[in-house]
Amino acid sequence: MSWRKWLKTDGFGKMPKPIPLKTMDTFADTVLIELKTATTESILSAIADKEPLYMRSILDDSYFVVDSLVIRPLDLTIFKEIENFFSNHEAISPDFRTQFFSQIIQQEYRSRRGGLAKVQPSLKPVFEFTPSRLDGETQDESFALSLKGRRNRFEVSVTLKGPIGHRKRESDTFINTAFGSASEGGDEARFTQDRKLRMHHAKIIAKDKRGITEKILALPIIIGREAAKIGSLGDRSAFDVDGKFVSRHQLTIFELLGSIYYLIPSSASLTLTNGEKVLRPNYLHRLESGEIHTLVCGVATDAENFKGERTNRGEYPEISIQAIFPESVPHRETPRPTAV
Amino acid sequence: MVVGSEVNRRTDGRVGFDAFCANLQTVSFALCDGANSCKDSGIAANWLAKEITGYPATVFDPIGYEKHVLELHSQMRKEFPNTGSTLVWVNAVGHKLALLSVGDSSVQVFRRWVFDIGPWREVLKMPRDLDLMSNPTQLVGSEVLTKVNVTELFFEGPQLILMMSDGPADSVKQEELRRILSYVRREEPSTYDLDFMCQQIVCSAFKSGCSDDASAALIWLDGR
Repeated sequence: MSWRKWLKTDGFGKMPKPIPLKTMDTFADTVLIELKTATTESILSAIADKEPLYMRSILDDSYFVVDSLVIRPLDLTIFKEIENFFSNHEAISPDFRTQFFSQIIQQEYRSRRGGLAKVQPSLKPVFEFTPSRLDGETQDESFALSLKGRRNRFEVSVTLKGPIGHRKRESDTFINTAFGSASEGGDEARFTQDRKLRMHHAKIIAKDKRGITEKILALPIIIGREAAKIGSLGDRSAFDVDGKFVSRHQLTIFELLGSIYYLIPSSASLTLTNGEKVLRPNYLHRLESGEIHTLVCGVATDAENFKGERTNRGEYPEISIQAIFPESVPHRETPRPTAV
Repeated sequence: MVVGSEVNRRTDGRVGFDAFCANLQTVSFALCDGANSCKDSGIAANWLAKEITGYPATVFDPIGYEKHVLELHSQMRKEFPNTGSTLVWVNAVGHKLALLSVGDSSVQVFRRWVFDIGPWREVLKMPRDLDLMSNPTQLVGSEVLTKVNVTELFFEGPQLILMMSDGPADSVKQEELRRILSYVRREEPSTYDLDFMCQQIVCSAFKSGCSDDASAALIWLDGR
C-alpha cells in the first residue's frame, strides 16, 4: 500500500474529526453571555425580593451573601452541548469548570435601591438538569418562540443569606514607627478580647519602603504588595508590603487544627529566604509558639541558593512573623444563688 | 408594635439557657436567662417566660405583679428543683408600661431626644441584681428571691425596649448600642429590621469577648 493510500484509509482517515475551534469559541461566547445575563437577572431579582423587608439605613450598612446558585439548562439539546463543552475542556484543564464560572459571576451585585449582594470566592455554582426538561417543545412553545424570536436556554435559582453588617474588622493594632506612633482600628483591649475568643493571631513587622510597620492581626492573613486588594472579601486580614521585589500575594499565614502555618502561594512570582535557605512555593512552614521567623523578599522561585546581599529594604523588604496563640479561657457559668 | 429577637446564641456550639416569649394578646414580653450551672435551668427559663407573659394584667398593679412572680417562684421550685432563672418582663397596660426585673438580665427603654426626631436616648434602665463578682444575687426558682423590681413608665411617642441577657448586657458598649439603634429613623421598623439589629447586638457581644449565652430582643411600640 502506498503511503498516500494508507493516509486516506487506515491512518488519519479513521481518526476523529478535530473540534472546529471557531464553532466552539462562538458557542462558548454565546453561553457565557447568556449565563451571565441569567445569573445577574436572578441575583438582582433575589435582592429585589429581600430588600423591601429592610429599612434603607440597614441596607446601606449591610450586604447579602449569595448562598447558592443553581443553573438549569432548559432543554436536552443545550444540556448535551454544554456537557460536551465541559468534558472536552476538562480533559485538558481539570479546573476549567471553576474558571468558566468565575467569568460568569461578579464579586458584587447592587440593586437600584442600594441593596448589595456579595459573592464569596468559595461559592461553586451547581449545574443541574431536571428530567422533566427531556420533553421537546410543545406547539404552543414553538409558536411563542416564533413570535419572541429568542429563547432563554438557562434558568438560574439564587438563594441569599443575610443581611450581614459590613463593618471594618476591629482586631487590628497598628504602629508605624517610621512616621511616629499612630493607631488604626481597634486597641489593645480589642486584641485581648479576641484572644479570649480563642482567635489565633500573628505579629508582623515589615521593614520596607515606608519604614518599619508593626501589626497584630487575626488569622488568616494575606501579605503582599496588593494584599489589601486580595484580602478585601471575606474574613481575612491583609498586610501590605511596599517594595520593589515583592509579589502581589507573597505570603499566607493561617491556622490549621490549632497550629499556625505559612506558605508562599504558587501565584507568587518571587519567593523569600530565611537567611539559610530559599523557601519553595506551596510548601507549609510551621510557626511554633514564641518563634520569630524573619524572611527577606526578592528571591527568584527557581533559585537554588540565596546569593548576594539584600540590605536595601526599599527593594528587598524584610518580613518578621511571630505566632500568637489564644489564651485558654475557662467557660463562665452563672451560679445559682444560695441562702447564706 | 413590632418585635424582633436573637435568642440563645453561643460561640462554642453548646445549648443555650435563655428564653424569650412575646404574647401579643396580653401585650407582654419576657426574657429569662437560666443559670447555666444547673442543667435544667434552660427548661425552667422557657416555662417561666411562657407563664409570665400569659398573666392577664389590666391595670398597673405592682403588688399584684410581685405576688404573681412569687407564686411562679414557688411553683418553679417544686416543678424544676435545683434551677434558677433571671426574669425581665414588660407589659403594656393602657397608657403605661409596666417593667419588672429579677436577676442580672437587662431591660432598657429608649426614646428620641425630641418627640419623634433626634437620636435615641435611654429613659429607663431597670436595676440588675449583681454582686461584686458580677453574679446574680437572686433568681426566680433559686434559694434566694427577696425583692422583685417593678416600675412604671408613661407611654409617649415611639419607643424601643431592649431586653438582653447578662452576656450582651455586660459586654456591649453604650456607644455601640446607640449606633445599632440609630438604624431606626423615621420609618417604622419591620420584624426583619429588629431581628437584624438584635443579631448585631449579639455579634457585638461576641466581638467584645462574651463567652456566655447571648440573647437580645427589641420591641418597637408607638404610643401616638
